[in-house]
Amino acid sequence: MRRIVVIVLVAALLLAACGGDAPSRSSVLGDLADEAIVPAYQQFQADGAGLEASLVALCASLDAASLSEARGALTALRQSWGRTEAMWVGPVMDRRSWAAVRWPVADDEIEDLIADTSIELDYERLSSRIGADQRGLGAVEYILGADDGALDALGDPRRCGYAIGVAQVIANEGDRLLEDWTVSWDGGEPYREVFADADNGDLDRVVNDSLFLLEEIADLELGRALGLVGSEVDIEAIEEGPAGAGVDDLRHRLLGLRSVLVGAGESRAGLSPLLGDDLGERLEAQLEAALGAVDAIGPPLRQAVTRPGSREEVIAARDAIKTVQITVGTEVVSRLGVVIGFSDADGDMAG
Amino acid sequence: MPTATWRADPERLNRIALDSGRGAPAGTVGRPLFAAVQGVASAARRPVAADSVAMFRIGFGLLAVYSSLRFLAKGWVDRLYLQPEHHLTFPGFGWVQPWPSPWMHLHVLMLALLGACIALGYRHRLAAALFVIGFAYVEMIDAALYLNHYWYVTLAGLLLVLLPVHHRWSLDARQGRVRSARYVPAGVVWALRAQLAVVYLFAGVAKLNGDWLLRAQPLRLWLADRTHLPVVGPLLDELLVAYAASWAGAFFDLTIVGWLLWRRSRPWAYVAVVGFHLATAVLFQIGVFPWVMIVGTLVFFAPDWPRRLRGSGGCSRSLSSSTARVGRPVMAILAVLAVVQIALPLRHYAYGGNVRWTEEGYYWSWRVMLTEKAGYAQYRISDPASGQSWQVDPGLVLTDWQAEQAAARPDLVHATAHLLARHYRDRGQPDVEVRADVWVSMNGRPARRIVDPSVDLAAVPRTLAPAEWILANGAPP
Repeated sequence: MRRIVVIVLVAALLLAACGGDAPSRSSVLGDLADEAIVPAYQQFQADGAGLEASLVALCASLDAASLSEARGALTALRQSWGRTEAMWVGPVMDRRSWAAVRWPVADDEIEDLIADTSIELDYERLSSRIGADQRGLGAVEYILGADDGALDALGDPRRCGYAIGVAQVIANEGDRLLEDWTVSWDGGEPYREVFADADNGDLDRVVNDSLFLLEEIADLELGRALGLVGSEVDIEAIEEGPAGAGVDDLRHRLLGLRSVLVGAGESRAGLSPLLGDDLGERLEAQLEAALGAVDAIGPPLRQAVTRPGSREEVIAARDAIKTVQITVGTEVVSRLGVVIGFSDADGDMAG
Repeated sequence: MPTATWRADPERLNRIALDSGRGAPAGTVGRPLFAAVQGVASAARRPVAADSVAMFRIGFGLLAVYSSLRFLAKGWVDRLYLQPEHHLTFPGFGWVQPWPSPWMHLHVLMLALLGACIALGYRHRLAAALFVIGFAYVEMIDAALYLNHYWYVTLAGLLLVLLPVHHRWSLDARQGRVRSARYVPAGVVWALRAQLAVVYLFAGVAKLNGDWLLRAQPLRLWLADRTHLPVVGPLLDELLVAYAASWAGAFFDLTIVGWLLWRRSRPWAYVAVVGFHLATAVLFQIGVFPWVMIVGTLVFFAPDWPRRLRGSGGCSRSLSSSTARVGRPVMAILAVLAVVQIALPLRHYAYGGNVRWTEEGYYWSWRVMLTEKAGYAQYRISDPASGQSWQVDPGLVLTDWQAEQAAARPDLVHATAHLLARHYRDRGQPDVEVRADVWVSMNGRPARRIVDPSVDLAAVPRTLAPAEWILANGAPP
């Protein structure tokens, strides 16, 4: 009996010696917050302030250079918001920030709002008393348009004031999100500290958010637009404003995803310390392949979906993104224990 | 009266010990096998105290009550049986469907009442038979809800129908519906022990694979997700702990029956049983299973352990006490049951391939908590009539929890394909083809395709025949 126990213990020790020290989940989550999430919200906050400032400057001086600068600021803000999309845990979910920042807009309702002079377009109204489809990045993009004709329209002070007000709402949202992550959340400690506590379920949430983002891009947007998901082509599934920035949006959403899963710098970071070298390297290569495939698409995205030659590029990009989706949906969730395989009922069915 | 019954020989009652292996008659010299069989048969007829089997019955009944009421209280009748529009049925059992509300609730409530009848020994045989039928019906509704311990409950319930476990401490005995008996043939105790032994031994044998022993998987994955637990939590993502737990688990399953049978080690073995199952209860979400095993393994103690516990001086050896009988038909059924229970867990060898990957021969084979699978499945519908082809989400016909299970298990993928075909057939597209692209990561391995994406699964009948469309190349060695 003793001999058996000794043999078992020695075998276990020998096998265990083959393994290395793994970082704790809390430390990895803390690093993820410090190196990816907080910087992403800092950038979003800075870009929000930048858009507001550029719109103020544009309305003060309606010229092509100011318009170009405002459009550049808008692009930067849209990109930085896209990079946060894989990080939608905690405050952004609590505040439902997407309703203030980016929601599909109804152009006619924006025009109705601007035309109705009985309504004062002040910050209070724009932040809480109009619909999500009348504000956010889409509304600013609609106002700024894609050609120089926008300058004439912006000669209407109401239109200019509306754009500035909407930008203020976005900038304020950026301030609040950054404050929640770095100063205090819900009257308590900053969310960075909450996030780094491995017990609160944010690891599950951030992985699920990554999966949802991948599904949204691959199936709900590209898949439907290509007619591969659902029984007919649905080009409206791709949200692309007048500037035709759909490809650019895809790229930055994937960049955000990459920084969450494997980090953005030279040394592998993000969640990859918990994934192991093999899975981390494969995931990184798959993400690079997906980014490369997206870069190969000639914009605008909606046209590329139906344009002969470009359609194949979109399909290739979708396939590359689906490869990432499969890896995250199977290996990453399994490696991190995000899905144990039990149903809520008494479960030993995993085996 | 048939002579081949498990009944006490009154003349021998005074010369044999009630709870020991002593007393087996000397067999015919020169025919060792025959003698051995005779010896075993004789020992099986030996009367032993009926206390422990009565306690087994009471414990089983109470757990049936608790489990059924818990099921109702947690709202699982609605969530798991009534809310899904479709169920992932077992091959050949598509006709097993849930009752409509509120009858399904009433059904589970009746299981609780029948559990109470079993515990009280009130019309025990009828109650146990109805319980087994009712429980098996619930078990067979949805294969995505398959649990090994449900199968154990069904089998143990069947034993309670067959065996004379209600002649002591029962209303049936008190009210004269059955003859009160203080003894049962030893074979009754053996049968209940053997049922538990089957669970442990096959679960142990199933753990003898490279993933479990050499990679500490899937425990390594599962324990690392339990670091939030107090006291032991910080240790659980240590590699050594995963290896130690894996080896200890295999050692436990493979040997615990022996330790429980050996009188000298039995108390410590039972402490190990309690510790092991409490640990699994804390670490994993496995419901009443730990309690079923903790209560059930009490049957390994001496048949008169309840009396000894009360300090009433052990079992009486008076001839005035009667012994319950086990008739020849019951013995025949038990023999068939034994063969079936050995064959079922081994049937995967007839399929070939790795059962942990293909899951052919997985059900009813005690492959308990052996594999962590995470899957990704998408389905493509083709309509030859229109020439159209499109991808659909399994959520079209499944709930989230069903889809999660169906993403990693080939037979459920097959069932989903049939449900999708039926969905479109009901909507005027009778000949759609359904193909599945399914990727599975098993025990932390890279994801591999598990189903041939070129096969129209809707055209493949659901049978128990080997599935050619399951891709074996992703299976671990």
